[in-house]
Amino acid sequence: MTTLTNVVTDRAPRRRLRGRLRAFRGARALALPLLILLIWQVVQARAVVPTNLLPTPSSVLETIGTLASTGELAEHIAITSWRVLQGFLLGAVAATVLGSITGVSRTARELIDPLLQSLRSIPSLAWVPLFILWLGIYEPSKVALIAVGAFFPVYLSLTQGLLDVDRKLVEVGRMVGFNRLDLVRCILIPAALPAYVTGLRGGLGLAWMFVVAAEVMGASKGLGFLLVDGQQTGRASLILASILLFALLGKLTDGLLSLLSQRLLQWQDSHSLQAA
Amino acid sequence: MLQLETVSKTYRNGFTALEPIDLRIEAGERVAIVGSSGCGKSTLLRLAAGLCPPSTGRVLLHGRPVIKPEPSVGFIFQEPRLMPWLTVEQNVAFGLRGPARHRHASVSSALLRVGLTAYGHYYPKQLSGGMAQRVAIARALASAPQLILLDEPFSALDAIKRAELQEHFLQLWESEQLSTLIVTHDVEEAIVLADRILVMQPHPGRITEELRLDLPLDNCREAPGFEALKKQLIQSLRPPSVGAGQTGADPVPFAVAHAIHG
Repeated sequence: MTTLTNVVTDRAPRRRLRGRLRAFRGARALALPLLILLIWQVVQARAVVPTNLLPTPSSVLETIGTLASTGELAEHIAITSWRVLQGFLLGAVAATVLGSITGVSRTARELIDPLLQSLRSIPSLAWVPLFILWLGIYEPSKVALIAVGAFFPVYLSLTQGLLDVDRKLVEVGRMVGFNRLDLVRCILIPAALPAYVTGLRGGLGLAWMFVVAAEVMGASKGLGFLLVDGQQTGRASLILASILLFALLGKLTDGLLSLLSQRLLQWQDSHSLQAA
Repeated sequence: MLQLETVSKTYRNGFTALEPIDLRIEAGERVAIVGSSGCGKSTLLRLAAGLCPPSTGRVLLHGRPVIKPEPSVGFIFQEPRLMPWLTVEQNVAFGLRGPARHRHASVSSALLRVGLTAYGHYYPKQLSGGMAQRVAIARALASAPQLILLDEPFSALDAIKRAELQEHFLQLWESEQLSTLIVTHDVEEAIVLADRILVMQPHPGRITEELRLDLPLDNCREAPGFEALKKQLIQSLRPPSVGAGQTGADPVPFAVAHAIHG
């Protein structure tokens, strides 16, 4: 009872405290990268390592600035993000459909899951020649490769999440006379939702990895192209700029997804009486 | 109301959890099954609920065979089993059918009856064990069942909370006149909550004794005869070889005891 009254009376101060803590944590996350950049800048200003191999952070930023001023950077970011988005959506949708089927139906699981598991053990880059042969060297083959990458984390988490739903909760559903569809809708899906969200975030992460693979294989635009370009023209600052942008974009999209999923889970929670 | 006709359960691995059992529960009756762990009492309850099919015999509710769980039968599990993503209110409303207004009314009155009206918007993680179990009771009550099956509903609680909830449940029973079938290993709980007690023995699970009690509902722990009854029940729970001398037990003033299977 004491904890309950605490929840009621201490809600506002606790929220404020939590907000402050979060801000502090956010600052902490930046501390180490900033420190490394600082040391890097100070050391490389004296050119300890030849600067054409390891440019200073400021020259990397300069490279980014130059690219941005010509509008080239926006184009590279846009095309890469678009590829990631398409591939991720394609892979995630396919994984959601297949994962929910194999997670709910034992027969489907016995039929489909072994095949998918064996496909998973194929090194994903092995698909590249086949996709290029089938889909050409332009967008479709790249999107397909990214989709393959995004598929498995989502599929695995969703299936496992559905399988891990507590039998005891399912029994409650059976006791109130739920049919199979009700059970899936009212118990299995909400119970598996946290695992699904984890899978989505994993899938998005892999989509960003696979877009690099796809663009390094052959592209005339995109952040992955900048990597190849930097290597071929011997500009380490361009490579580092691209890497930095990948890190930022990956973190940003993951944060967005996590925020979105929080909304989604919150909606589940606030779903009132009519849900039952 | 509820009738078990030569119901038995043998699992696929050949383990006989339950020998053929006949059991009849009349409307408004409170029946308890006591037995030590693994005697098949939970199996019996699951069969009665229609959660799993019997190997032989049949379960009848109002004369109609039970094949799957019936909406008119409520089940209170050993654990609260609340949906963590739903609020207290939504958990109580879980599985309710009919127009929203009716559902809302059922939920409010069920929460009122377990004294949790103020906690409708709390999530299960914010509740104590006793409160969570009261929500589970409210959920079972909200569908206005005619029969409630309880599987060691208070065993996870401390002694004080347990006694409190037992009292609470008795009050509910008095106002609703529900038929109840409770399964427990706690002899005292059986005496407090039931007016008929069946004793079960394991290997294989079977009913070995039946007692009809006539103790007052209020403060039945203080009633004369309570301790003697408790002693007698504990004696009957012992395996037959140990309890061979049970014929010499003190006569129990408030109970008519008779052995079914010796």
